[in-house]
Amino acid sequence: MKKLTIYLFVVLLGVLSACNSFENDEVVTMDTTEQSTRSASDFEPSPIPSGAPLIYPAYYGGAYVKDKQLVILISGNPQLYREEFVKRCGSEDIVLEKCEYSYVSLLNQTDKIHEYVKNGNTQGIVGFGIKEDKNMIEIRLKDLNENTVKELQTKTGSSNMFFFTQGEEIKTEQAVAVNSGIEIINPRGYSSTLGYRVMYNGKKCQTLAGHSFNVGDYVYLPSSLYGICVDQEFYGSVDAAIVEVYSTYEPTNNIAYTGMTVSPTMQAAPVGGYVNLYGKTSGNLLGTVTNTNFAGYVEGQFMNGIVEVHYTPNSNDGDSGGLVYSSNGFTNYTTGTHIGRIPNTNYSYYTKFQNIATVFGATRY
Amino acid sequence: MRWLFFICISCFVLPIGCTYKQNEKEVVPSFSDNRNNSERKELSDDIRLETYVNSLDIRMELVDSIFSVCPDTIEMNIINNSDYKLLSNLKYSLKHFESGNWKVVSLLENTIWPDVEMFVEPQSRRSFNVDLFLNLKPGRYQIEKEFSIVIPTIKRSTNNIRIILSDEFMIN
Repeated sequence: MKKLTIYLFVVLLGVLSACNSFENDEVVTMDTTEQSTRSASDFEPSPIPSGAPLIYPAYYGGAYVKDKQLVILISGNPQLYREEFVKRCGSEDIVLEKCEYSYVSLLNQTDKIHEYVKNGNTQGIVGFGIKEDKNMIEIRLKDLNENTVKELQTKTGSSNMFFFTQGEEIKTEQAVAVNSGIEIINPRGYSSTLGYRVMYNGKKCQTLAGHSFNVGDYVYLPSSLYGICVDQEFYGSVDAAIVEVYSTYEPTNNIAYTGMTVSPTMQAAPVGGYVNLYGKTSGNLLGTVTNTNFAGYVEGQFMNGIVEVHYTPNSNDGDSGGLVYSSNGFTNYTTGTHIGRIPNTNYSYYTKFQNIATVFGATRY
Repeated sequence: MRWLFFICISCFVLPIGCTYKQNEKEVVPSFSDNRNNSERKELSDDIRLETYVNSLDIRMELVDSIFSVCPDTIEMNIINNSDYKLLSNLKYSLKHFESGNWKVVSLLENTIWPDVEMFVEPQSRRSFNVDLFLNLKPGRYQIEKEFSIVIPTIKRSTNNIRIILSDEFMIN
């Protein structure tokens, strides 16, 4: 047993010394991109997961390529670090230049500008970033004038690291089409279904579950911010909210994953009539209307004038806000939006779309 | 005498023959026996699954558990120290401790619950506010909430495994 332990210890030492091969690296020729990547990536301690931020030493000021040669900026005496960077880059073909600001201090300043912009103080800033060849931070303004520059220098700490240029906002080439029936998330992380597209106060919007959103709430797709909730009702005959969609998105009349569309024409369903529900969890369900003027408590809130439907199987968690539509076999008509269900029964409830249109002054398009 | 001997032998052999046939039936199981075996196996799987689910460190803790009047909301923390995501909704149920027994607060039974989905990520804790829209009288209560455990690799996982978490509170 003792022999085995010694053997394992020797093997472990061998593996460790083999891994620590940095000092034995031979100097080879490689292109500037690889040199640059290596010069920065070598600052990352190897045991930290790849997602960990790079840790730059205080003497590193950044790097850029000039005349096909990698230039590394040093905050201090460059000669002191030449040997180290030759090893890091694996090449002699590099230039070390003295600079004023370390890369860490430049990053700290960009963080401050980010915080400043995030807090709503855009001051016409359309972009900013480190310009490594200048060893400074470029701040791009939509309207470049002396007053704005002075105001920004004062409010952001009057940093000499900044220089200002004029620029335009980045615009996407094409709005992303978003279908109804997909998952939508409120700021508390609760998930429901994205409803119909509507025009509200002349703006392109979409309906949501009213019990899940408050006015002013950000509305999220699973991977991005989608818009802001501008109106909400969870009372009387209406459980719905309106999201004003950001300009980078274009709502459609398509139902997600089905290849079907829903006409903006509204149609009420009678008792005994069939309706379909499309919810993000259940997909498409077919049900029979059992009451067109139901009154009852929805999570403690008294509601009336809502419609009761018998679905088999019943709706599920996450279907709130889903599309309720009726069909004549050729066309799907806008009928309502899904509210919820009585557990352990087959009864679910929806808000009539006509009531949503009346209460919000919204129109389907 | 020879006849008497023959009858005695017959009486002895015939029951043995019958017994042998019965044993044969047990060796070759019938359809109903197969079904029983399958049900027994499923039951044993269910017990193992229940034991496994109960061994997971998933629990509910109320932030406050003693109230001087009936509160509007109750804040709860769901602690999920398992490697699985938990799914739930806005629904909860209440039990009132009366005469030594827990009795279901029936007013919640016919409530329409919005179909909102909420989740708790693996190895995390999350706080939820529950709207208590009933005017509860003083006493000892138990709040229960059902969660689905998303275990994709478990057999028959088309329906998520369900677990009920609960905690108690008092209204003085």
